Amino acid sequence: MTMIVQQLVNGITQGGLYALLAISYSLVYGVMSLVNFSTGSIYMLGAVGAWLLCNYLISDFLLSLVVGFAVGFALAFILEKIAFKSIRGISRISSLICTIGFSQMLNELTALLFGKATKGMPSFFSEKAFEVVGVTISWLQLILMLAVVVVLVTLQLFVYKTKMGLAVRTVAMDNTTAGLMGINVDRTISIAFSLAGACAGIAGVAGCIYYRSVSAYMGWIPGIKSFSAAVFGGLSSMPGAILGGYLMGIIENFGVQIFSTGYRDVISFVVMIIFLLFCPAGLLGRKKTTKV
Amino acid sequence: MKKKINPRALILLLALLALLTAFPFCVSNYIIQIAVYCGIYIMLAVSLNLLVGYTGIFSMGHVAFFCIGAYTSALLATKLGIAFPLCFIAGGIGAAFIGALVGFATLRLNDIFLAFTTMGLGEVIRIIIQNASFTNGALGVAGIPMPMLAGHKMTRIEFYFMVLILVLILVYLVSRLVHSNTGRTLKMIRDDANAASSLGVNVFRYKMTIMILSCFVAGLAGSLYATFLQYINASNFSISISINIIAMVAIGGMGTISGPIIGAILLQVLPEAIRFLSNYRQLMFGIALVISIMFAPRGLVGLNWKRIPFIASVCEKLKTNNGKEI
Amino acid sequence: MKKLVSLLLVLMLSMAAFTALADEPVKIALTAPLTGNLSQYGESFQNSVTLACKQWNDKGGVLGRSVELVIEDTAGDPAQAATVAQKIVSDGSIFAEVGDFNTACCMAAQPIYAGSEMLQVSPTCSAVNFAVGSEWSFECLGTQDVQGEFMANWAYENGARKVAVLYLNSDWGISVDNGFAKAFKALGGEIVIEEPYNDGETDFSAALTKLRETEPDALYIACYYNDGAAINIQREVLNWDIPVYHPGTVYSTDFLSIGGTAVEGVLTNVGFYPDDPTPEAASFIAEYNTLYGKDPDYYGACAYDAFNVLMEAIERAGELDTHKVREALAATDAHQGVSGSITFDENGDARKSYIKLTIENNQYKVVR
Repeated sequence: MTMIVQQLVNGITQGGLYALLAISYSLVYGVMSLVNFSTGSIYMLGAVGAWLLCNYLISDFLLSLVVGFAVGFALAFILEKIAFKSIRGISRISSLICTIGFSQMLNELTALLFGKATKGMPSFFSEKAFEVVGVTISWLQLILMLAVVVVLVTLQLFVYKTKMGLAVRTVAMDNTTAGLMGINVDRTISIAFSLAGACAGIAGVAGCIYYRSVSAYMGWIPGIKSFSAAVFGGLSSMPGAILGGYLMGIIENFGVQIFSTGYRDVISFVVMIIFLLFCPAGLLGRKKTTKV
Repeated sequence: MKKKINPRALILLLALLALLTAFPFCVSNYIIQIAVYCGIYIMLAVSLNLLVGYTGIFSMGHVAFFCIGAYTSALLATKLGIAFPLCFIAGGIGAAFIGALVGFATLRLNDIFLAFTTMGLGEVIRIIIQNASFTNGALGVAGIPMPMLAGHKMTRIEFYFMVLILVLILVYLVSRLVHSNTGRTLKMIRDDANAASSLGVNVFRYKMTIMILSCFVAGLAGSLYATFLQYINASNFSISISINIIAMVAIGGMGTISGPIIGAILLQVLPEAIRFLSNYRQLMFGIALVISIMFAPRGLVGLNWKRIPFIASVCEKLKTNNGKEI
Repeated sequence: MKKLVSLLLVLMLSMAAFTALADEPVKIALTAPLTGNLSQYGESFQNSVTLACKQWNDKGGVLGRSVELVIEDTAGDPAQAATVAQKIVSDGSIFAEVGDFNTACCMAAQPIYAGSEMLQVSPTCSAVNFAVGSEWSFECLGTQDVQGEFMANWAYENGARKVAVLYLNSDWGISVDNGFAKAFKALGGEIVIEEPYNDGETDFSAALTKLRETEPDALYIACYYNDGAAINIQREVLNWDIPVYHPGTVYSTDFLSIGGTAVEGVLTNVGFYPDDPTPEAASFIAEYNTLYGKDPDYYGACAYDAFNVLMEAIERAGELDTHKVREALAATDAHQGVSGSITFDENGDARKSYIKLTIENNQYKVVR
């Protein structure tokens, strides 16, 4: 019993990070039909930004999150303007390679400027909050869970309740028609892309605070895993991506309990594959039929 | 329909062959090693191009078949002491078998979903190999013997020639295939699968055949890789290899014969050529990837041929010739 | 007069010849992952070996000739390691090789060095099948049997009877696990669970929760210092207070700075007394610190030793003959290195000495 609750808590904390990254994939995929493999690098740079803040200026939790948001937003904005805009029309494979090239560039650039060694983050809220049936939950876990939920809810409100969000959804459905209806497609894509970057940046800060370490290569694995979480939940649906992220975190943690840590990544990929084979649109994704 | 061969193209081809034959005798083992890797990656890129470029099957898990070929061959050679030619074929067949299973399950899917499924499968296979005991787990397979040739162990130059011959045969067969009726059907499937099936083409069967063929070639490449390296480890076969192969195809030019070859050579030689940059090497490689896609989104083959006057004229001649032939 | 002039001339000529010979440096190659996700360990290699090389040159070089390093990046990729090995072997002027960091790279390069009879001295490749695979391969980390026994004895003395093992799923991790488990079972203890984790893992809370279910008295965790710090941090988050034993690979100031309060009281080992180092170790630490602004880690110490052991073997052999140097290297007896005393066994694996170490007030402290 203790174990089950504990793994659930672990899974939800970790799933929150996946959910933030998954929604980042989902936003970009929605408006551009592009799988942005540099998401992991933006995650990493958000964490690096938070480390620089905590180490040189002020060690503050909320401010770190703000920095992560700002770094992710700005970086994604610049990337979109200089690169992804010009490759919008090209084949999926080429654009995928381009995002991977950027990811490698960002990682190596960071390694050169920031140093290759892993750096430690200061610890926030490390005291334990309370204990239920032998399960200890720390303030850190609680606050991170809360922060992630706040970000996700805000994003949902933005997408579903504002005019700009409506534009994003329209572009996601059909960007040619959206353009004809008078929506500024370029600006909408740019905003969606930057917001996706901001989510990844915040995820990076949350990740580095939770694991208390930062390194130039920390983004690759979370990037890949949360991508499969996004596919699992449904790439084309934002609530689906969130659900996918949380479920993936939980499934992984129970998978470790049942099988072995060595097979951890197998579990997340097998879940993804099963869904792709039997329900390719994911848990909440729209079903698309190809028209002749 | 007798083939009329353009004398200039023939001379070019003969010169290329002479160069490929002569060059290993003038360079160090280091260069030969890179040349062999180029050969292996050409096999991989060409086989992936059959899927991605000609049939429109976006596989992101090509490394899985490479890996299965390598492990099948390596385990047969080290555990059962089977001679190289058999291991080589077995590597191909093993990969083709798994490819058939994967194809059966995934080929019904939409392009992008198929990409993710194959990517996931690639990782699953790698992690299982890393954890399973019959593959030696994380210890890898060591001491894979070099093939025997006329009573002695193959030297590196001999290995180079073996790979060269295999690559030439492969490229020849693939170019025959894509210019045949089957090839044209494949392109039709790539461009519009629904239209193809409404014309009575059994899309699934064609896709399946190409999948098996492509995986067979990847398996053969894996066997060569394992034998040449003499040691393999599951960590050799990470997702980044798949990405590398895709990059070769995309940078060279999808759906062309020469594109993947150029891409493979470029992406193998470039990291070695910029070795002097040491710490900045990976950074430069990333930049090169981005620039090449941004400025030549259809691949280098699609770009250069029309801009350089000399090549353009040759190209023009070749084209008119092809026209006559048809 | 004529005689004197001719004598002078001969003397000058021979001097010139001698200096020409002495000017020709002894080239040693260092291969390490300088890019990619293992690059922080590769950097440690590069720093330490560059320092060792500088020290030898300050002393007047080896056999009166200066030493030159040729540094090559393998990015932790076995295929690249094989290419680099071929490049080094083909170069013709390089005498021996030091490296690589990870086993896959060492193993992929081994047939090439063995084929052209070049010495391959790996600082950290302790895989059971590495050194035994070729007479030209040596490694300085030490087989895990001795370290495993040392740590098992210590854990047993401290009253642990049920130990849970978490190890990195690599050949190194497996051999650490095997070495410890064998020794601990021989003492009569029980290994309740042996859990591997894959390289690149960042979240250990699930694995730790699983280990906790088995109710062990102590943990033995085979990991690099980054993972080690992460594991201990997550153990702290889970509020699990238990004695933790690590092999010497976590010895690094980064382990302390990342781990912070979480690594307090962790038990490990090291080859030298950090608070009372031998003169060699003291000078290594001091010079490393002035050059790179931080203390060396365990990998750096191993790389430093690997280079020095090789250089001393060349000195003892008296000439640059690979066969003679190989014999001299194999005969290395209790070399007092900074990562411990090194003696090679018949396979070329190092036998090392260990000192108990713990962490108090975020400082390493010897347990006497």
